[in-house]
Amino acid sequence: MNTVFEKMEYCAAHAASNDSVTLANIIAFLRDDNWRVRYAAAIALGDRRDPQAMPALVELFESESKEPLFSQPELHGGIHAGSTESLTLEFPEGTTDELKEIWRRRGRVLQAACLAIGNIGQADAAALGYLHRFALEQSYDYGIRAAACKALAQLAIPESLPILELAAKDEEWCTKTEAKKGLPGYTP
Amino acid sequence: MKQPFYIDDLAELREKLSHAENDGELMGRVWNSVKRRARKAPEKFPWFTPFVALITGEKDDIENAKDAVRNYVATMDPQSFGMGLQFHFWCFAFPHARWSLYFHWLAGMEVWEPEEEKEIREALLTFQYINFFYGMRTKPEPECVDNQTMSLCFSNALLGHLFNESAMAQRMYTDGIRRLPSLIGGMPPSGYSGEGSTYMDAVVGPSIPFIVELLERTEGGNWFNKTLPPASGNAEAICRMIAREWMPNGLLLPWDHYGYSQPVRSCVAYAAHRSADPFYGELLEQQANWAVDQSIGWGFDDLIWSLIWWPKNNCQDKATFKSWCEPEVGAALISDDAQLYLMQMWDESTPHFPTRAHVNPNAIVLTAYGSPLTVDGTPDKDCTAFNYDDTWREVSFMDLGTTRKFNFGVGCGGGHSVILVDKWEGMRAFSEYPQSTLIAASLDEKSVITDVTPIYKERFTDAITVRRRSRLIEERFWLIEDLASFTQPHEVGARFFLRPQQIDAKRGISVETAEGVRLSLLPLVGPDSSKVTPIKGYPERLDGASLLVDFTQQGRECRWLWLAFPEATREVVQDVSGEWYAVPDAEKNQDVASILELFFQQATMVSLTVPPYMQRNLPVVQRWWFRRTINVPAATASWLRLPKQMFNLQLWINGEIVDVSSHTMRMNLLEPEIELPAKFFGTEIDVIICCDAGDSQYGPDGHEGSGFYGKPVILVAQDAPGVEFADYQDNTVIVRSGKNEWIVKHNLMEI
Repeated sequence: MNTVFEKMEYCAAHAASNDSVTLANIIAFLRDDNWRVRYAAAIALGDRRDPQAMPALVELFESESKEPLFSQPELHGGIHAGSTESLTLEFPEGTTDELKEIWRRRGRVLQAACLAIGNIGQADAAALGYLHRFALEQSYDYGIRAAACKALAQLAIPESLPILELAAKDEEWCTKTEAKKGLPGYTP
Repeated sequence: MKQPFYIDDLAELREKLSHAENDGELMGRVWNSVKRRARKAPEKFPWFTPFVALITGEKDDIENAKDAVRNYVATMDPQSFGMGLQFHFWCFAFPHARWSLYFHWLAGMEVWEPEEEKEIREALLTFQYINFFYGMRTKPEPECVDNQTMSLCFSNALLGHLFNESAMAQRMYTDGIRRLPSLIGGMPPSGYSGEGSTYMDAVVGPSIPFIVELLERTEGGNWFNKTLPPASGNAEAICRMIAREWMPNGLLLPWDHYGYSQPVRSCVAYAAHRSADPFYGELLEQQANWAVDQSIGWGFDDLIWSLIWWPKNNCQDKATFKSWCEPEVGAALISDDAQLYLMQMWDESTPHFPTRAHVNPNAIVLTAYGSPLTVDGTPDKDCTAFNYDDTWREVSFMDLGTTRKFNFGVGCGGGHSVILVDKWEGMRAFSEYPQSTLIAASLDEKSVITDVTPIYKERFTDAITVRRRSRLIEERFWLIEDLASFTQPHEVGARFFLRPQQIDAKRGISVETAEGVRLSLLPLVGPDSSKVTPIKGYPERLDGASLLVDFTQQGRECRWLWLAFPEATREVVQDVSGEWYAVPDAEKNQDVASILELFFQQATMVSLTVPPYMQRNLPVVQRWWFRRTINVPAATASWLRLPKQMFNLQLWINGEIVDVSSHTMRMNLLEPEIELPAKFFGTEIDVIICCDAGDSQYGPDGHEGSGFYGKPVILVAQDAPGVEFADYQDNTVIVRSGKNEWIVKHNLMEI
């Protein structure tokens, strides 16, 4: 299990397991250098629904939210979806490979971690604090806001209701729909 | 070799295409043109190459297909930094699914080296997992039913199935396939998604064959005719609606955001494959424009999937366009000869921000003799006519590092041919409720009445009744009746968006289209005071302009009874589509003097209906020259109709250049009719044409690979006496035009 793909596969392959060895390995993958592995690990932990993953997911929230995930400026160059034309982009001077990786991932790892906590069905104060923040954070991509709202709706904790009420007014449809699902009396 | 996914019997498909090709059937000609382009210009038609490789099995075709897949894979990482992939990922999910499918086909042919196959497989799977599985997971389930979610769920289900030896693939499959039935079932029974013809035709419709066939192959059973929860949607109904959006003039209904556009064919071919309704075959065999390389699901393989689903021996008896009515959505009243077409629409609009499902309560679309008479669509970037004060919106979820401010006024009531109250052009709903009710419809009598009071009553609480009734009378003209009643007086406006060329009229308003079709629109009941405002830049297609016509009246009970009387002022007298000499100009360095010599040296005789390389084994180049002589009849006026989509058209008659610039925009959708100077009447003329054909699905000026399409003819003026008398008395409409008189019973609607 050396490549990024193999590690991602390992996470997915053990998403339905319930043994401690694979759980420990997947939790360890939450700290992998490659974000794709972290992303796959968070998805797998959500599928496993094991509360033992909570501290590592909170740690992931903390480390990910310190990164400049949404700092990419618009770049020159572009092609159609599905195109086979070659594409060359002009990056700002000084753009490092590390920064490119951050721009590639944006909120993917955060989204997977939010959804994982929603699936686990429990959140400690730290996790809840992050979910509340992400649900309303307008500088984040909507995929994170919507995931945080979805998780809060699944958790159904009364202290989240004011947050969900605010998020239900989000300008973005998926976010506000997920938020509304956590409010009393919601019917699809 | 494994059977390629979605194709149960490759040998049978090969035999079908070979047979059609040898017999000169339309299907065979389409297949031939696809194969030729894939072979002669594979880098320009990458979407054709995997299918051609699959059918021919020839080494060069396989190498072309492998290169196309490699080139696609090479784009994936750079796309990660694009606004498109990050914010509009569904547009990338659907083509990614098909490139993955094509890779899988080639893998089944065992044409990859193991190392490269593993590398590409892992790259495709990883890209799907980090982008489209990610994207799908925050599309609310089950609430979100639209083209975006279809694209995302389908792509996850398909890759999940194709690569099911992978644990990630299995994970994607689980969530993707679970949601697919509810995406079909979440559509209304009408089959109309509410997103307009473009999204219906370009994404929702084309996704149906892929989804249905995937469900049938993985879950078993018949998913085409099955009515599904939660909203009783049905795949067959979606296909039927795709066919119904197809107007007799070859354009799609200008329904909601994008306006008139060209139909796609693969969904219709699939419906022909699954249904006994001969109308699908009629569309394929008689109505379709096979030169256009229309995008489906953000990829250029509509022709490929048309060929896959197109039934063998489909040359059925000619079917006809028939009137239809969907109680939740709208009705089309179509004359028996398909020359007159009216659609009245009342589909639900989106509350607050109607950017896709527009506010069009009882809006009217009129088409006659092949020519659109009303317009709808979207304005160009310079047109500010719909920037109403109360319809601005600023959002931050659509772009990288910036917000986007835009005005959605064109989606509101003011952007449509509807009733407006107290000059509120930003008219829209602000909450969810049933916005309309079909009151009566008769397809035999070709009439429809629909009530749209609720959407007026939300703002104007004293609204009692707002209704429109449309009738096609004796296969010759329309009566359109409006009723708007309130408990308090209001200013009520009847708004129409018409083609831009106004002509003199004693009553009402009259326009004459560039195709020589007139519409006289005049009130038989209700005041005839109107304001006419030319709108430049709306719609952005067709003429790039329109007339906004507002009739107004004040009161508690406001009524109009409109006579809408169309007339064709030209008739076809001569077919001049054949016997054109054609010369390619690959370098684009010829002029009208130098080309003359080449006509003598190397011309090929073709018909001027589609680009030569779609007919014969000729070079796939962009620029072509054509020449033939034509006998112009002795007439009072005459026109030369040419195919649509002749890009950069230039025309010379007897060596003199003819200005065709006024047709440039319009001929993207309609065949231009170019007026011939009077000095040529009764003479033989030498016609030279130079034009470009789309020769690349992505290249600059490649026009997405679309070639021209049509049938050159000569037209002359025909008598069009107009409305000489029209009156409404004693519940009777009397109309006289030339030697014809119509006496029609018509009782006004009751409140």
